[in-house]
Amino acid sequence: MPFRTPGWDEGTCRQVFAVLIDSTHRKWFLGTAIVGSLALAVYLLWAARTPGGLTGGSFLGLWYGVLGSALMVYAGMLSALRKVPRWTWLGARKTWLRGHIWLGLLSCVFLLCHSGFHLGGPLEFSLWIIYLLVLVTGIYGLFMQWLMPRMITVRVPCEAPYEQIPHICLVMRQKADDLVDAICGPHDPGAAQPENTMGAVQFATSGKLQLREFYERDVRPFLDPRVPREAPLLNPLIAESRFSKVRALPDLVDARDSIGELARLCEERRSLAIQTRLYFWLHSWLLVHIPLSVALLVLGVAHVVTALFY
Amino acid sequence: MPSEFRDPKNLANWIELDYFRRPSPLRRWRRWIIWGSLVLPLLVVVAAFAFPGASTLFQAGPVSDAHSMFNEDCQRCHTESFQTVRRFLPWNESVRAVSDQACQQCHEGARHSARQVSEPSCSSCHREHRGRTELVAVRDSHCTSCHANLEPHRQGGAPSQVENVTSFPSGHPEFGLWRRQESDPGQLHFNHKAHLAAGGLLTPTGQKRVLQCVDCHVPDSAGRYIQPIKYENHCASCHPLSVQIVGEVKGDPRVEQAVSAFNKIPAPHREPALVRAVLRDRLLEFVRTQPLKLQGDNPQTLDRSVPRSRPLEMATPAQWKWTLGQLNDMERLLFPHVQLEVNERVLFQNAAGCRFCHVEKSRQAGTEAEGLSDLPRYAQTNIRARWFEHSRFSHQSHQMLNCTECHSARESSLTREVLLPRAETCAQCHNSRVKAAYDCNTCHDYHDRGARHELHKLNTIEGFLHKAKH
Repeated sequence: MPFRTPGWDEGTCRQVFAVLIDSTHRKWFLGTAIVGSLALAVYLLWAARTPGGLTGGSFLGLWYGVLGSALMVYAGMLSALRKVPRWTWLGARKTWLRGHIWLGLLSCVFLLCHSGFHLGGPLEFSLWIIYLLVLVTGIYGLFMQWLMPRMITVRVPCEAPYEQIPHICLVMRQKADDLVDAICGPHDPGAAQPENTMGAVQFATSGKLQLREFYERDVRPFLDPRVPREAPLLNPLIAESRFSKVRALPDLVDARDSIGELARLCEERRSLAIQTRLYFWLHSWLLVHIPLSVALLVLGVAHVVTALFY
Repeated sequence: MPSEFRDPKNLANWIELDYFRRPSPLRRWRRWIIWGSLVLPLLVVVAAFAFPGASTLFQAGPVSDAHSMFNEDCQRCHTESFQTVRRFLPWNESVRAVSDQACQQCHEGARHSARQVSEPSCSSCHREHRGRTELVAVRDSHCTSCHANLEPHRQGGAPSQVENVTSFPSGHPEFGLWRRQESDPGQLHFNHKAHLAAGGLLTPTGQKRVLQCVDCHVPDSAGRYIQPIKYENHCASCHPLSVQIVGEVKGDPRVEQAVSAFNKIPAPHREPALVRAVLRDRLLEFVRTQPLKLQGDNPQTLDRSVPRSRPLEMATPAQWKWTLGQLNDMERLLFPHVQLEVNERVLFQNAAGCRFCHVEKSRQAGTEAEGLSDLPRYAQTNIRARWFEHSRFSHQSHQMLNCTECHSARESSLTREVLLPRAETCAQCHNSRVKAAYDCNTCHDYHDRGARHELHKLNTIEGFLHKAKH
């Protein structure tokens, strides 16, 4: 059965967005909708009364440009707010985040009116493209911010600090080394390589050798901080199958508890691998959203300077 | 399921307690990318400012083709400052960075109306940096801002013959000539219906010919308007102004040939006095080149006889010889005079003469001394070269239509009938449903081309290019 997030079973996007834009966003949503509609109505009425329509340099066009830019700057200040966590007088971060979302969207209305619904020249066209990407990545990020924490909660029961995952892997690997050494003795790299028939027979009849070989080939690389994508133990069914075989080896009956602990270490590593992947999807959009926002502000300043100069 | 190995009580064994002091790879990457996204656009902008050729990056759109030579020379048109502060104030439509003077360096920008209360600036209607179409095709709202209610925008109020216009076709009045119930001022008898008879017309050669509109109404080289009708090009082949040597000519083939040649050349299509002069000259020339001749001694066989002259009575050879001597000179005077009189009667008095088409006003007065007192005077034809003078039209653009779809010529038999279309005829295609162009400047020019004035023309090529560069 494929993975389903809570609330997804009912299965509609509408429900997802109903959760994304919950009751705490209602005022922001209504405020944005009302202000946006009013701004659009005023613009359209004014444009209808102005021969040839309004331009960005007209009275209303300029003011809309200023307001749209101010809203963009406000939205961009969310990142700056992190640098001054002590400035609590600026308001709750949650409020800023909602303002970031809704006022950022509202800026779209003002900027569209400012441009007169034209793409403009190369600079303005670039600004539009970047602005659109910022909006899209922002909406995508908003969705991810809702979805991923729920997925992590469901799929990663033993969540760890993301930055510590490599360290935890190393610790787990050390623990696994100790467990296997305790069962099989110190590791001898040559012993696990049967070079002749006698060696092969010896390997086939020795559970400890097979455990060591299984550990060195599959388990230890899997516990490495950088787990390969094709690692078989990433698949829980394969992992369970392999460990069942090892547990069934005749001379490892006494070591079943240790082998079970080894299996749990692998399971936890698998869980951390999932967390790493989900964490990447949770935050990677910021690698696009923030730089584009910065570029948008820089080019926006260039647009203002050149437009006001001419 | 919590981790079996990472006991919160034993956290120090599992995590590095100072890990948050060290930057994570993700954050490090993000920082680099953010700085890159800050520096890269800055470099692009600085480079664009540094390279003059890249200034087009900052333009709101490419300039039209006509202005492409100034594309890198913003100051050529943007002669005024942006006046940022004033632009933030309401009702700032008069604030323009491009002055009218900048446009009028090259464009005359003829005025719209002398009675206009205020003249809008060039750039308020002609929006540059939006391509040629937008530059030339001024939107209707520019026109209707005044013409929807003309009275406050015109000195002395709205004239009675101009009605307010809001759009076409619904908000457009009937064309002026129909509102004023004008008739064709042409002073010429012409029957379109007869000329366009389906059975055709009998030509002087005896054959029938079915005429089409374009046989007479030929568009100009631009395909816009119809060239004036010219008698020589369009009428003469069927309506020649024939003149003839009247009388019987026998015997001498040389004289017969001369008479035939004379008859083939019609009278000129000019004013009567000139026709008379030309005819007299031709007849005198004829007499000079074809002197009177008698055949043998028979006084009854004249080569040329004077029309309606009585037959000569028999005379003795001596008398005849004497008479011949006297007649030589008299014939030179009498023959042209009589011939001229007959031909003038045909041309100026007969219904099939000039009066067939032209309207006779009166006879010449006060010119008896010049011998013109009996000549008729015809009214100027007064055929209008342009009808809708405040609009423009292209016949070429409408060439897919039969002429009679718009001009009801097949039903018109009187000159005074106006054969131009009404607004409703145009509105059949020029409307929002069919989508043939129906904006103001499809038919109307804002600038009064009749009020052209000379440009300053002070530019030399070198000076002009120098200005364009700097």
